[in-house]
Amino acid sequence: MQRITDMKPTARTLFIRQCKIIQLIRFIVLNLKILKTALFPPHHK
Amino acid sequence: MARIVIIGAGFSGQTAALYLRKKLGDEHQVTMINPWPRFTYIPSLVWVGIGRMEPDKPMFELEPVYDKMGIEFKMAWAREIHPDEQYVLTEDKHGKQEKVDYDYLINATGPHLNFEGTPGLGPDHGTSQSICNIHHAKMARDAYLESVKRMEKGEKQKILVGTGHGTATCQGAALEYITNIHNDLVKRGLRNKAQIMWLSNEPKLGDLGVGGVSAKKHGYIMQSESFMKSLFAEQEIYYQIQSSVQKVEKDKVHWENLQGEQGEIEYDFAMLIPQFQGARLKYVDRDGNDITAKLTNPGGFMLVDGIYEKKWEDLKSSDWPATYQSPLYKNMFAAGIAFAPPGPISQPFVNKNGVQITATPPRTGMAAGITGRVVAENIIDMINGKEPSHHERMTEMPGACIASINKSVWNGSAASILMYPVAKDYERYPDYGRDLSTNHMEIGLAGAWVKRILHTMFIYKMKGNPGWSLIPE
Repeated sequence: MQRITDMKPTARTLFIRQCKIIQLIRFIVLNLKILKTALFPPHHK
Repeated sequence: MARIVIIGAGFSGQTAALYLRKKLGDEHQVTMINPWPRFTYIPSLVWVGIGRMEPDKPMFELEPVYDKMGIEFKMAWAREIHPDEQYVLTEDKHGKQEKVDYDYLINATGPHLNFEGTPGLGPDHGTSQSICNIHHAKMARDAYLESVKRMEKGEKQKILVGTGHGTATCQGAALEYITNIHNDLVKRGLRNKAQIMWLSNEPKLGDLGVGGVSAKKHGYIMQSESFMKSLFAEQEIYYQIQSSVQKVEKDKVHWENLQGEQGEIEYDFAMLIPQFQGARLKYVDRDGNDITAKLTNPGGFMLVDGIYEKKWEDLKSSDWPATYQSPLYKNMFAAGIAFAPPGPISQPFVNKNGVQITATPPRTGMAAGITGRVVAENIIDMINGKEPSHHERMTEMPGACIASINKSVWNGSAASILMYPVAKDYERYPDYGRDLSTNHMEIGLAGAWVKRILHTMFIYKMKGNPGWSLIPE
């Protein structure tokens, strides 16, 4: 069993992850991205 | 008139039933064989397993849905398939057997949870827990809350989550569970009382049975390994990968790793995903001979139109099943977990002692829904006198994994991982096997909202409510 302590998110990253305004935008972008991937996958034959 | 029988009302079976009923006239008969009266939305069981969701929330009764849609429902176990005589032998809870005739058959049975594959594994032995079905999730919740009580009394607890077999899959569900436990304990003010540990068969952290995911991030190409390491560093989770659980006792797990080393891990609470095998179904020919070995792979998954027995490094996109039709019986199809993949997506390993340590391919969620739709459309083609024309290999299928970290809609979080395709295709994408412009990884509250919406939307869809077909698989 090992534990790493590097690569911890910074305070800024943690703030962004919880900032309601930023996350509302991310929510819209993420939904559009999921829908685009599901409905129009790239180079789909 | 055609009689279509579907075995299994999970994601793929239910999707297939909905499409068949939508696109076929009333002169055709659709029958669902399922041993349980309810549909369960499995992805939400991670929340049931920590007591953050009531067990009835991810479930609904199937009978009213089927009554509304004109689907015949037989609540029974499918025991035997007789492909020559075209019937399924079922057995209900009273032991009554019945022959269900079919013209077309969809095997959407989901997994057999092979706890027997690891000595001592599983809730039946009173050792580790599982969240693979609602019954297990409730047992896991009770055991977890017992551990919480001990922590409240000041005791330290060792919590172990991961895979319980060298060839287990569904690491994503285990990942959701471990991160939700972390957040639940933070909320309860008990995180300092627990040592949380991750034990898995993945070759790298963040492999998730799909060989890991690469995505563009901050001007770099980031691997899911770094993504997951960051998450585990943040949540102070200990981890051990490349390990096969060999045996489980009441308070410890015996493991063996890729180097052939053996060891033990002590635990107070463990949730370990078992190996998945094909459902225990017997295939019988017209002479009464057991032909299961001809129709399934050694794991019990039904062989379809894939190219099997190739080495992992030789597997090509075209080797993956496309129509999910049995090559021996053209009126039989398999969807979801029931079909046999041609090999793993993640690199397979065998250690010097011959122990196989390979994260096997996940075929749940999106892949299950897509294969359910594809087989339904192919059966409709055949009913209309055409050859199956719908193809969707796992090397052509997108995958979205929204892994909950914290359920709360106010300060929750989820890891959102998008990939295309699910199974890597190095012919089309020589560098990483996937399309980097589609692949995406992020953590945040937005993912938690998406996860909640998926829960609501998929239950809405699976009930066949108005507009269900507008919701993509």
